[in-house]
Amino acid sequence: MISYLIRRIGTSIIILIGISFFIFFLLHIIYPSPAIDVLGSRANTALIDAWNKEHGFDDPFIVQYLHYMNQLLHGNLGYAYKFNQNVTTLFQERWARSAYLTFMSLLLAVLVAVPLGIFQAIRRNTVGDNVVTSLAFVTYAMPVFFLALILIQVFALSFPIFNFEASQDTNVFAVMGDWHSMTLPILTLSLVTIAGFSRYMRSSAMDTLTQDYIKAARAKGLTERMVLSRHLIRNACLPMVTLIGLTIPALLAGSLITETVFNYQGLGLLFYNALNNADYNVLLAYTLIGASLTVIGNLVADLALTVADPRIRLA
Amino acid sequence: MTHVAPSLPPLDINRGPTAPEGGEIGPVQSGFKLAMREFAQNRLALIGLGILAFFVLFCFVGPLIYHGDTINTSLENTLLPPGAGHPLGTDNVGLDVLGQLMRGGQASIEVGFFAAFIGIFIGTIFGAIAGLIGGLVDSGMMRIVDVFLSVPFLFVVLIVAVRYGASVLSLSLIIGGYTWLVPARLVRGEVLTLRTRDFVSAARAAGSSRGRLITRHLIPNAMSVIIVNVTFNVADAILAVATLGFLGFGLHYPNIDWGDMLSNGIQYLQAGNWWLIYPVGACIVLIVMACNLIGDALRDSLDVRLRRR
Repeated sequence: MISYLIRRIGTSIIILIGISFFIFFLLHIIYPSPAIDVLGSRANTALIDAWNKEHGFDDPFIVQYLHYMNQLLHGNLGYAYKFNQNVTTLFQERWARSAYLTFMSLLLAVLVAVPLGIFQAIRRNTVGDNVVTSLAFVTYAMPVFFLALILIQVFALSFPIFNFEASQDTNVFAVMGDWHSMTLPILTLSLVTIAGFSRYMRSSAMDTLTQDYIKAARAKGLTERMVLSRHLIRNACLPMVTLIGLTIPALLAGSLITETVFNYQGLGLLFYNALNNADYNVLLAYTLIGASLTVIGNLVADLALTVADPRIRLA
Repeated sequence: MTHVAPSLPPLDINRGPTAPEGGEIGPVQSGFKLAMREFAQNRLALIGLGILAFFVLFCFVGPLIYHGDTINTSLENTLLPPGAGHPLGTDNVGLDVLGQLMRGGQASIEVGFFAAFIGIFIGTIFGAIAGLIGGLVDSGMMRIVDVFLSVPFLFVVLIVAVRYGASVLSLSLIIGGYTWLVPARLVRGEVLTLRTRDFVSAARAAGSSRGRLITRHLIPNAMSVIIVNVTFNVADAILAVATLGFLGFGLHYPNIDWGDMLSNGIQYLQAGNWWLIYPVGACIVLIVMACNLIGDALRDSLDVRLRRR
C-alpha cells in the first residue's frame, strides 16, 4: 500500500515536470519573445536585442525554463504584456468564478448522472431507458456551443425565464446568488457532462447488478430499496471516481467555450482573449494550470479509490 | 433480433460444412468476417453508415448538382428566409446557406478523416514499438503519452492553430498530431498481450526483424482496436474543427467550415433567423452521432474493450 502510494505520487511528479517542460517548449517555439509586443512593430533589431538581453529572453532555452519554474514556484506567473498586468493578478480576479461554474456543473452532473444510470440499469431496455440513452447519445454528439445556443433560444428568447448572459458581477458571492443569469451556463456545462457520465454509470450499474453479493443481499430478504441503497449504489459509483478525474480536461475545455458563449469573466474567457491578443504568458500559465489540475485530479481520484475500495488497498 | 436476413447462413462457422467435425479450425479471416456480419445486422450501425454516406454525397457530389452562390456576396439578398432559389435561405452577406453547408462539410469531413488517419498512424507505430520493446523504453514512452494526455487537447490545438493559421492541412496535422495518444495506449496494450503468443515466438524464431514483427504480425492482429478507434477519432476531430471554427480560429472566407457558419449565425439568434443556426448545428450533431454509432457497433462486433478519453 505504502509502496503503491509512493510510486503513484512519484509518477505524478515526473509527469508534472514533463508537462511543464513540454508546454514551456511549445510556447517558446511559438512565441520566442514578447519584445515586439512591448516595443511595437516599428522597433528595430538593436532595440529588440537589447530588450531581450535585459529581460533574459536571449538566454539558452533551459535557463529560461528554469528561471520561469523558479518564479512559478514563488507564485509569480509572469507579466501579461497585452493586458498590462501581472498574470497572477489576472488569475486571482477570475479563478473563483471559473471554479464556481465548473464545480457546480460537475456537482449537478454527478447528482443527476448517478441516479439516472442506476434507473437505466434497473429498467434496462424499457421505454424509459431507451429514451434516456437516446437523449444522452444525441447530447454526447453535440458541440458545447450548439447546446448553449439551443438553451439560450428556448430559455432566454422563446421563454424568457433566464438571462442569456452570465452574471457580470465581480464579487463571486454575488455571482453565486444570481440564479437568473447563472442557470444557463451551469446547465450547459452539466448537460454535456451528464451525457458522458450516464453512459458509464449505466454500464457500471449493470455490471454490479450481476454480481453475487447483490443476489446474496436479495436472497437474505432485503427489500429492493435496501439492496439498491446499501449494495448497488456504492459499488456502482466506484468507476465514477476515476471518471471524474479523467473528465477534468473536458471540463476545462467545456468551461472555456461556455464562458465565451455566455461572456462569463472567468479563466476560460481570459484564455480566449489571450489567444486573440497572443498574450504568451497567460496562455502558458493557464495551460500549465489546466494540465497540473488534470494530473492532480487523476492522482486524487486514484487515491480516493484506494480509500473507497478495500480490494485495491489490499491488492 | 428480428431483422436477421433469412438468406444468411448460420453464424457458427466452426460447425459449418467446410470445418472438420469438432475442429476449432476456421478460415483465416473468420473472426473479421464474423464481426462484419454481426455489424451488418446492427440496425443502428447501418443508420450511422447511411448518415455518413449521405453527408459524403451531400458535401462532395452535392455542389456538382446544386449551384448556390457561396463566393459572391449580394447585398440585395441578405438574410432571405428559406424559399425559392435558396432552399435554406441566405446569410447576412447574401451567401446561399445550403451551398455553404455543402462546402463547409467538405472541410469538416476532410479534416475529420485526415486527422484521424494521422493520429492512428502515429499512435499505432508508437504503441507497437513501446509494447514490443518493453522495459524501460516502454515506460519512458508511456510517460510521454501521459504527459501529452494531461495537457488539455483543446488548449494546445487552439494555441497552435491561432499561431500557424487554419487550413484543411494544418488543422489535420494539428489535430492528428494530438490525437495519437489514446490509440498509442490501446495498441500498446494489445501488443503486450500479443507478443507472448506462439505465432510471435514462431516469427521471431524464423528470424523476423522487429520491424517485420510489427508490420506483419502485431499491427494486423491489433487491427480491431485500431479500426474502432479511427471512427471515434473522426468524431472527435469533426467536433474539434467545429469548436475552432466557432471560436473564430477556423477556416476563413472564401473557405468555410461548419463552426464558422454557426458563430456567424449566433449574431442573428435574437432576430429569429433560425436557418443560420439549426441546419448547420444539426449537420454537426448528425455526422458526429453517425461516427459514434458506427464506432459503438464496431466495438461490440469486434469485441474490443476500450475507454475513450
